[in-house]
Amino acid sequence: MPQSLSEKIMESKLNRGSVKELKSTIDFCNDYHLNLLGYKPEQIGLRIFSDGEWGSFCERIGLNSNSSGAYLPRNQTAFLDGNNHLSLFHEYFGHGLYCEQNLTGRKLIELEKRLLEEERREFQNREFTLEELGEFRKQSENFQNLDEHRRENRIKYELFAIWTEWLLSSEMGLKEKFERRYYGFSSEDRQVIDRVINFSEGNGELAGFYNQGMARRTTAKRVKRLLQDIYKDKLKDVRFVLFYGSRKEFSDIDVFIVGENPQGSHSDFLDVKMQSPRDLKKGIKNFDVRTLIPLMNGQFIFGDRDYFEKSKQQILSQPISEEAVKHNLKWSFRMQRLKDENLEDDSLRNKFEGYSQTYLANGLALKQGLKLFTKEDLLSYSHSEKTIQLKGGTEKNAN
Amino acid sequence: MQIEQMMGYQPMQAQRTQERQTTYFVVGDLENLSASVLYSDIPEYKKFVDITWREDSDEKIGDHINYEVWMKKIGSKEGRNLNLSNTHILIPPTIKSGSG
Repeated sequence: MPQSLSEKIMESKLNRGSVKELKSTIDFCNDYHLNLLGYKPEQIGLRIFSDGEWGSFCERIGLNSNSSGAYLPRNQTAFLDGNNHLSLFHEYFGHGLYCEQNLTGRKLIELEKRLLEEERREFQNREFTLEELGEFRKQSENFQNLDEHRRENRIKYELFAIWTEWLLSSEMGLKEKFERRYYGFSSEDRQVIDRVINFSEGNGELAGFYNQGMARRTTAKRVKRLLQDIYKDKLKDVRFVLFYGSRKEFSDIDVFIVGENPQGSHSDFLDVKMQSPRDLKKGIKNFDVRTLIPLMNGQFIFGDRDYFEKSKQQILSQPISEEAVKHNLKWSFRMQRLKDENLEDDSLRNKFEGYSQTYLANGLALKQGLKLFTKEDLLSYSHSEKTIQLKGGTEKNAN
Repeated sequence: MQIEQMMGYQPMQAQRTQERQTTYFVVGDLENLSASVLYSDIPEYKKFVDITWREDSDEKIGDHINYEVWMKKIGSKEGRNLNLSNTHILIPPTIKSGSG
């Protein structure tokens, strides 16, 4: 039966006071991550060495003994030289969690495991030295891929771990410990570290995690907190806020806001579409897909629920007009034109292409008297309609 | 999990190390011979965390520790350089007006 982390720590040679203190630190940090992100380290091992053992351990397996901790992606274990808060934050909650809940980190683990299998086959019947292992790795394609990945992403790994040190030190009232460490970096490195810290100070811790590619296990409560941290008092005049889209852990978070002074936003992790009440009314009247899809599929986060429900009801009850059909066909043509103007930019081209298809499908579905509310239903409808093709006549039909 | 595993990994052939001045490993050791290691690989690092900081020290200015004094204390002109600069991974959300 696998041991719990507490049991593992109990077996270490740390004195009882240190063990108790370490357990309470880990519990605190686990709770912090669970509450904020909806996950905590799960598969990460932790080994703590007492005085004198660290150096010989490092020497034996070729690690840098001048460090006070290390994280080995191959066995997903953090190794610490004694009970050291900053190293625990850096190796276990920084590198460890990154390799568990980030696609770049998961890739590193995957590449390590692939190389491990290859090495097992090579050395299964003989003893070997580190030098021989190094020679073997030099000619291994798996190792080349791993090394390239590590080099390309080294900064991301390190910055996340350093930022985690800052974050958890601040949460636990150990800021001075981090400050001492911080001034150990070169001025150039400090500038980069400052950018990460300033980002999360300005936009909140959740944004700090998500902006570094960590899994987005979103709930209405979590999205509300994220928006409040980013938008701050700009949210006070909104009528209602919805959360929609794929909700996949590594996709961006789609939010629909109805309010005055539209201020949408876009980043790798957050895509906020905002409409004024006037635009919403117009969108409902025309069955516009950019209103229809979030409104009919979105989860209410906060605001005027009655206004939101009435808006939805109007979509369901109002008749389909000829004007609405034309509106969607006209926008399909516009989006197609925008796509053609942005052929060099993959992201924009795909975005406009997608809109063009859904507008076209919606226009034709409405013409048949069908009200379809999801992107999937619209695309499926367009595939079933063999006659749907974007040709020169589309704009003409729309007028 | 055995205590020896928890407290410090011993290569399975460690016994022979002292005789030959070379550590020999067997296939079971590969688990710990990670090809990539993530850690704070700075020689100065241990100095930073080991030095006892006096809470009432006048070396601390405002909310921040005086950098020059600190560097003098550990005998270094410049800190660790991880070469983190020239990175563009942090792109804050751009809030734009008139988005629809």
